Amino acid sequence: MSRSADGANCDAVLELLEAFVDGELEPAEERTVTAHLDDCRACRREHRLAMEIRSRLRSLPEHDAPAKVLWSVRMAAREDGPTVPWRTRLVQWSRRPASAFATASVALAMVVAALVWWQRPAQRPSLDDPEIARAAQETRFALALVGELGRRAALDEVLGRRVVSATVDGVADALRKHLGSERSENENTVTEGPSEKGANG
Amino acid sequence: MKARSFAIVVVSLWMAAAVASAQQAVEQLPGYFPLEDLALFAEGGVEVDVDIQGPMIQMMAAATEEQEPEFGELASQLQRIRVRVGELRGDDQSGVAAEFDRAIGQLEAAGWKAMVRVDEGDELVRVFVKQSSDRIYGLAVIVNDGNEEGVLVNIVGDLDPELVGRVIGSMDRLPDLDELGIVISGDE
Repeated sequence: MSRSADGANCDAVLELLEAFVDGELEPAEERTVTAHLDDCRACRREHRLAMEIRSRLRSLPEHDAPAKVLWSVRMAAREDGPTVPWRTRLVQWSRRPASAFATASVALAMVVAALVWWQRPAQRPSLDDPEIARAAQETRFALALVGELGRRAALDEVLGRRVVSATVDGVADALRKHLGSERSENENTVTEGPSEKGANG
Repeated sequence: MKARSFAIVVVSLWMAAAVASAQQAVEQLPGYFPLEDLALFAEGGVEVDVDIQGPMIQMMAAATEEQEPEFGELASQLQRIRVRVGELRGDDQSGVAAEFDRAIGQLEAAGWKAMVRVDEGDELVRVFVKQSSDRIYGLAVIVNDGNEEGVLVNIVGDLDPELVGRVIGSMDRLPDLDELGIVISGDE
């Protein structure tokens, strides 16, 4: 066991040497080692060797560990480590400023999206839609048929003539032609001549 | 996993029941008359088959409420419009006549009142209304033109009679009837 002029024991210094090289010593220990290295040639050699090894290790290329190895290590760490309940992890996560900010941002975005969706201009139904226009026309026909028959019945009473039955032929023909042609050809007019049944009925 | 599957089944059944009850709702209204049940038309003889109900009626009401406020309001009170026009069964005229009589009997038994009643030989016209003191719940038109054609109409809703009168009154005649070349002998 050698001892330098500063009184430090070489074995004790060599034990501290790795931590000294890594800069992990307390200031007092660091001063002791530095003083010893100034006086002790053998320990200086060890120090240079340690520095060279450290330098060469840092110059080596880095390689990622295989995923399987990483997974095994994580699973082993999880099994060995303390189990933290998910609620605790959630609370811890939420207390992190970055997490709180992210949560607030997402919530704000959802509120804005909901408001935009709620206040969007509703697409109003229009008679420009052929289906709606046809439905309206068919409804008018149905209502008008009731009115027409009612009026003709009243005329029957007043005139004492067969007005309703004459109307019926015309109405049926009109409905058939008009609605039938609309349904099949989406046309609004029928250009046939006067109905024989309607004219003579 | 089982709980999730069970929840999906329950929700699906609930939605199916809701759709079925909505469908039944129209059929259970007092103004509904099942035109489809009448065996009047020849096979393939139905030439006009109109069935407007549900969302289409709502869209029609919304589309017309600005330009035609009264028609739009009346449309909003409608539940279903059903029109069938076609060739009657020619092979069984007595059966057709009996079916017309059966339909009329069903309507009268259910409390429908005949507003228009015409019987001229083989020709038959009825316009029925189902109403309370202040509402019209349904209108039904039954026509046998005596010449192989029939017209059936059922209008279902909860209608304001005055509004019905104003809307129908605003229609001087069937839309575009003149353009269609229909001449009414009573006008001659």
